[in-house]
Amino acid sequence: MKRVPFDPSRARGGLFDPAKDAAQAAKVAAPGDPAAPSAAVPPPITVSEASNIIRRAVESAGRQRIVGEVSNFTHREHWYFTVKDDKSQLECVMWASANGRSTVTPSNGMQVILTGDPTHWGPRGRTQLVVTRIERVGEGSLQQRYEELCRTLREQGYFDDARKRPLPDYPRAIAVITSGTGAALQDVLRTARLRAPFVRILVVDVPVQGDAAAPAVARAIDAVDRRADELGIDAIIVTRGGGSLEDLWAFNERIVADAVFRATTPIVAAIGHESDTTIIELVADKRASTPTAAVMALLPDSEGMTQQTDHLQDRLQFLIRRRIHELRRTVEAHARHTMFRSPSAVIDVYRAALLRSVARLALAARARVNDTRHRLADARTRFERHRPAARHAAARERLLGLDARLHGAARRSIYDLRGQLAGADRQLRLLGPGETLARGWSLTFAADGTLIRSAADARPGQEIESRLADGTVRSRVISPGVSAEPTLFEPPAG
Amino acid sequence: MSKQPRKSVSKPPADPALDAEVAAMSYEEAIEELEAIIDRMEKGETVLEDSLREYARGDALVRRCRQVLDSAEQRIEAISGQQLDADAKPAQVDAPF
Repeated sequence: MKRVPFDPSRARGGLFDPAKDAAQAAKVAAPGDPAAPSAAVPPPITVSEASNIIRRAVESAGRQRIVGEVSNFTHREHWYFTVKDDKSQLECVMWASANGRSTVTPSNGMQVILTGDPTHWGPRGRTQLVVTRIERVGEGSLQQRYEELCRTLREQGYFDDARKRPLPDYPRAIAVITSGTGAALQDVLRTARLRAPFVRILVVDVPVQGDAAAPAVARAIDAVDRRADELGIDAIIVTRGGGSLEDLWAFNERIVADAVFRATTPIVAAIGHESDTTIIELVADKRASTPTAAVMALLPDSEGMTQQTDHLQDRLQFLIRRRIHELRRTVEAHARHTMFRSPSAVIDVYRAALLRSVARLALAARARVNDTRHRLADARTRFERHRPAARHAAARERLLGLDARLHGAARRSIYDLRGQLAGADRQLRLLGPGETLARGWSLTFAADGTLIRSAADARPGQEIESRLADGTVRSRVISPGVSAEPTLFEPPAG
Repeated sequence: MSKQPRKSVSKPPADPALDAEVAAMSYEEAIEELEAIIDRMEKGETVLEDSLREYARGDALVRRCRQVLDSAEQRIEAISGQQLDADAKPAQVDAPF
């Protein structure tokens, strides 16, 4: 809001007497005039004095509860941030003594409700809000967020009975994820000691409320599950005592639900009182209304176990006794048998049978020997016949015989062949020209070498060659002529 | 049949190997095996030597179960969530804190 500048001429009364003012103004306007008397206008105040006035005015507004959006948040030990709406902003500070107790840590953009005392700080000339409490203003109330997350997780099957694991019958060791300083832990330890003191307990200390709780609980569940084999843990209890919805809120966070969903170790969750049902209890393998109930559900009753062991021991002893008794009766029954009363009678029967068998054996043996002897002689004879030396001699004779025949046959053949050859030779001579020529015949050739068979082929004056047995005669034809008369060798007719 | 005085079954001879083997078993494992032995004996299929051996084993298992139950000392260990995640070893504590 813009202020209208102060117009002294329009002010009336009190200090604002125009006459006095005029005089005063005249005096002031004359610099360096020490003789001018001072009027009743108060001297100017210092800046610090002004600051104090302003501070008192600001502080008199008293404690405020302010809703707005956080920005420029920084923190070392103390928290410094600005809270604003669309037109204004206020600087805030939350001292370490206060912010350490805060369940809410602001972040830029967060909608918050601040409770604080306004003040004005002279050294910097800043009006600030000293915050004593911060509350979150979420997208909806916590109840709404709870219902929405329940819906989501139910749809995704986080609450399904089918995925829930059975609790071990006789866990050897369990992990208890809880606050180390809480009453819930004491309840768990006491109940466990009474019920089954031989079950080892691993206490995992985590924050169970505040912003750090949800991630810490989730991480503890993951770590126990991951190291379950190494640490020998068979089941987990997650528990804390009663509180407001804000106090228990960590156990409604998605990050915790996911850790329980992922885990392979069975988990029992007991958060708050009977009437509180947090999301972890819906996802866990078993929900218990109190920490004590969680222990009762998980740990076996040592009384019952003792009775069970006693019962099994009795049964075992009964059975072995019965077995021995049965066997003893069987043995006694056998002992009453005739075999033990007159043992020699039993033996006599066998002895007689044995003697008979011996006799038959001797007979059979002799017959066998004779039979074998005959067969041996027989075999020897046959063997002699086939003795190698005899067979060798026979073979040699045969060989010699064959050899002689071979030679004889060969000689005869050659003789025959010679004869044949001579015969063939004579025939050849007879047929050949040599004998014929020797008998006086001659062959007549023309000058060109052709044979003249017929006298008609010869011409008078033709040169001819006659081959005789021992040489050739060259001559000239005088008068050839075919003879009508028979040849030399035809017998004359008549 | 006349009633004969029940003879108590004498304790089977000590067998350190058997005891050592059984000592490593959990209550659950011991009980399961004990019940199995009793089942077999009830069916009566074993020869005498086997029956006696089974009985000795069953006896050792019973003693193991009692041993677990008799350990009345509650063993408690503690560790912070952060240290657990960092793979540190839990520390033994004497009394609940």
